[in-house]
Amino acid sequence: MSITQEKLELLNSIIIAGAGHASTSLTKWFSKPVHIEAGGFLRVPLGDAFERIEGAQESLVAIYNQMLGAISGHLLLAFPEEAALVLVDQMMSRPIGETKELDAMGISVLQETGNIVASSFIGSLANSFDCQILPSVPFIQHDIGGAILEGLLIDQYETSNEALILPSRFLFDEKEVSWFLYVMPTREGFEAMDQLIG
Amino acid sequence: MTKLNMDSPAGGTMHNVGIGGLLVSFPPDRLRAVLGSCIGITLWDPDVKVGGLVHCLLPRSPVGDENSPPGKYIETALPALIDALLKEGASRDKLEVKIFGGSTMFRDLATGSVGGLGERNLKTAQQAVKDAGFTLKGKCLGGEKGRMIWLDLNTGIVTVRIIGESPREI
Repeated sequence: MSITQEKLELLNSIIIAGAGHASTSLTKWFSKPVHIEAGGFLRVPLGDAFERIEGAQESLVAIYNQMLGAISGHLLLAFPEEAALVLVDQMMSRPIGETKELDAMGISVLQETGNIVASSFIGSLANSFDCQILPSVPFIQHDIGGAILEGLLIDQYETSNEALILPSRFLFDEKEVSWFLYVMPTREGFEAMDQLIG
Repeated sequence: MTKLNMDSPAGGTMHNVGIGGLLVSFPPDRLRAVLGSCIGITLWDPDVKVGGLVHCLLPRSPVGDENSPPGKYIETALPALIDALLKEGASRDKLEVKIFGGSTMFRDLATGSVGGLGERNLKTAQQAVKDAGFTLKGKCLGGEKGRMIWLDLNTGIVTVRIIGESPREI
């Protein structure tokens, strides 16, 4: 990507603020402290995604939201399968381990969790850039992390041999959990942010 | 956390072939790729027991892209893989060709430049194999799920793993 390192650092700070808003919303949703640590954009050379991006080698249950409007992009909240089942147990007030597979109710819980993250994160981004961005409806994909991420990075790799992705770490109830949030603006999304920063 | 099973065989190395990558090796190594809408092409010579895997992102290169690796585009990947194998002693008329991938990972994104990419990729790959004068020995293409594939360089068998399904050998 042709964006300068200086502008990228400014974008990092805006995205980190968005992650903060998403943390607050998730804390209310779960009634337990949730903290999303967004570390900053990672430059991933063509061919290195599977090795370099945490979660790419996992079987993931991912909730996908497309970012629509002035800044286009992809937002992916993902869990290893067993973590997704634990999350459903917690939200349904069931004993941990009771949920063995994702039923319609479980999928609904995960979609709503994804919705909450996407709405608060994208709302924060729209405020920071003073523009309109909306999340699409969420949908769930259960697949190999690398295959999911590859699909969302294609438009960056189409014109560059490097892609930018912002991965995050999660603390749930003050313990680190293996949840993943990936922010991947499209090529046009980066161009729009570049212009809005000025 | 559930890591996908990517064990290496005794004495061999499991090489990952990332997007745009092209790799040739000998037994007991194995070559692996994770594919969504991308295409994986494997070639293997049963006599010399040398094989290769290329992991292609797009059907063809735009005008002026001279910096990308040949494996990024299907149209340049197959000739490059054939050349690499011939240099290692393979015979062109012995090569067994298999292709994998071309899924539609995000049907809701089926608009814009990425829309229908998996379908375009798999059609381009099948045509490229035909144009190169090969008969396909095996394939696992399309659908809406990603694939992890392993090429066993001792047997030429490609194992395909799709989440929620039993592994299959092709």
